[in-house]
Amino acid sequence: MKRFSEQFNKKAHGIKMRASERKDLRARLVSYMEYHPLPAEMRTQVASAKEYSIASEQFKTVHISSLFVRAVAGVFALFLVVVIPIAAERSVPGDVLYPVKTQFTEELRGTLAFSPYAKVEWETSLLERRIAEARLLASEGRLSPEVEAEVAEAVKVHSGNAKQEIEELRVSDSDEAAIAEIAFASALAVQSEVLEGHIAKEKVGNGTGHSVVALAGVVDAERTTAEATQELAVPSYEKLLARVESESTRAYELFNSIADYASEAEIADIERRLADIDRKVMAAIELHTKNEELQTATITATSVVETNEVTVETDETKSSTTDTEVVESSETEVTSPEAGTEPTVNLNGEVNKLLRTALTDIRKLISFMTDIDVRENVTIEELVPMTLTADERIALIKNSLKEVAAIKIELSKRIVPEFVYEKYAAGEASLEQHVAIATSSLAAGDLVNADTHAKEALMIAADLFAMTSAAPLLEEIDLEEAEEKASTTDAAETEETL
Amino acid sequence: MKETAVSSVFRYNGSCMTGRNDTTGSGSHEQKFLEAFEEYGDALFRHAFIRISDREKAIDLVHDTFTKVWTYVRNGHEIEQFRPFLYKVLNNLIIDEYRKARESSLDALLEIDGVDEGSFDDLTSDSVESLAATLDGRKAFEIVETLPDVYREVIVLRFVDGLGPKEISELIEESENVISVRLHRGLKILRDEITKKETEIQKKRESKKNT
Repeated sequence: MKRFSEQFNKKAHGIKMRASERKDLRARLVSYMEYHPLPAEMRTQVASAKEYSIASEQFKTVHISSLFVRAVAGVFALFLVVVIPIAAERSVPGDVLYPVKTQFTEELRGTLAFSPYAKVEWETSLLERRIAEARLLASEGRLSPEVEAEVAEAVKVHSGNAKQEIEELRVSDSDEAAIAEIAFASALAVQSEVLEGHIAKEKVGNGTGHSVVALAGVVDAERTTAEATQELAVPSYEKLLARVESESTRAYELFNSIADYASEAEIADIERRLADIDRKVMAAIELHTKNEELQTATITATSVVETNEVTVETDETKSSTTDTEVVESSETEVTSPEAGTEPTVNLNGEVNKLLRTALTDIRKLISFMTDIDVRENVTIEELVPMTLTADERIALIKNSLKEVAAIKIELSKRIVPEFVYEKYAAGEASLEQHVAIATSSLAAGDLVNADTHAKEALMIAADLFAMTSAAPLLEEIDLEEAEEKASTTDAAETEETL
Repeated sequence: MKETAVSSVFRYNGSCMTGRNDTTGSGSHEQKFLEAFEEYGDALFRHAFIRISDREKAIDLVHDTFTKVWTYVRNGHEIEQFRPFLYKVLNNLIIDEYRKARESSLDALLEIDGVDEGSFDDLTSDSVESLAATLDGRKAFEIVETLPDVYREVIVLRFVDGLGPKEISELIEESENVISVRLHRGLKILRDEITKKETEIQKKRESKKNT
């Protein structure tokens, strides 16, 4: 029967609906279903599945709205990643969130610095941060010696890191390294000044100016070494100039942005410094050009190349703890082309110095403009002393000489006491000498000499004035005498006194 | 097998493993209904066609079967298993169809109510089997439409749809004995018909040879 069954079955299975028939039938059924829909209460029902079932455990699902979960998770993540670091930014050593600042945020930002130059900048900024924190604590009276020591240590570490980065940079790009050194030195200089200013303020305030002294010492030491290294760095002219140019642009942009709300005095000050820097740069460029020309010039000409003098003076601050003074003066005079090579080297060095100074000044100026901390503790004159133009200096010298002349007139009206007469005579002679040299130097354009001698003259004149100040004025005596005597003796007497 | 295609579309809810013949998982009534169509539609058509030998009519009958079932569902009745239910409905429709077409000479043969069951006590499934073993299924199939429907019914249910005697008896509401008798008789008729035909063919051949 199995055979029969199979055969029969097989033949029977040849009978089936065609695809089209099936499709049509289905469509008819579906439309029938649509025309005769389920009643409402049945529509949401689930038809029971009473199959032969091997039922396994049903999982129970508890629905927590996923939207809620996501929202909570999002807020929490935001809090963790954004709010806490922001709150940590203001923390100082000793705060709960301080580790978040140093070990998380700063680490993260550190990894963003890719180039060695950026790394140097980053180490510098970390250094500045530490100092700022220390100063903040000090101003609140919360700076303990331990924390100060920690900060000092951190300063050394960051300084060391920066130097290391510079060395690494030097391998690949020595010019960049040199420029980085200059930038680093100037940053340290700023910080040093700021700390000095801070200490000075404290002394004025409540007399407890010792709190950041140790730190100031450390920073100053670092600054000295950095500046010394910086002196040796000789970046190429082009690169240095390029850097100076870009930093100047930045400085000008900053200046424009603060011009709206800075006071007039501040604006004037900053403008002056910017102009000074410009002059330096122009001088450097001119010098460089001349240098180039010299190298190609023929030796036959014996023309005296006009000297370009730029004197950079930094006024010493009156703060008692400052013990370094940077005075640079550069002066070149080319008298004969025969000494061609030497002046060329000198010129190069001078150009370099000029540009380096310009760069340092610019960076200090930028610091001044961007950092309120700096402004509060240091005057612009302290940080970036004004550079006098040649004209200004000439004017000053002339002024000095005028003063001398005025004093002389005063002196002439006085009686010289006998006991100082010799001294006076010597002084007078010296005075005349100095005035003479000053005047001639001024005429020759030797401002340095003129300045020196004019100052000397002024000092002597002041001394002479002091010497004779006790003496009665001759003028008074003259008048008295003139009243007594006849007017015909006036001329003789005035001659005598002179 | 083609019928399983649809079932995969519907979602699992819970983790039940389901039996061989039935749709998986649970879904809406519509879904289950359409699943049943996909699964049994062809089988039902086959059955209908063999029974009434009219293709279009067969499709109509299948259609009517399903719409009737749908109405049943709409009225809130739960259908535990579609297959037997569908077959029952279809079978009744086919019988109705025959009643409508009670014109042919087969009617006389159809009126075989009151079969003397006594004389067939010895008829068992064995008898059916042994008889079936003597038949060629293919030839039998070709002439099955000559069978009176009363016999056809059981033969198709048995040998095409694969229903067991018990299921058939439930379906057509007759005793299993009656089912066996009908099967036996049906097969006998088939055998006789086949023999008859073969004899005719042989005769024709011989006559051809002779002439």
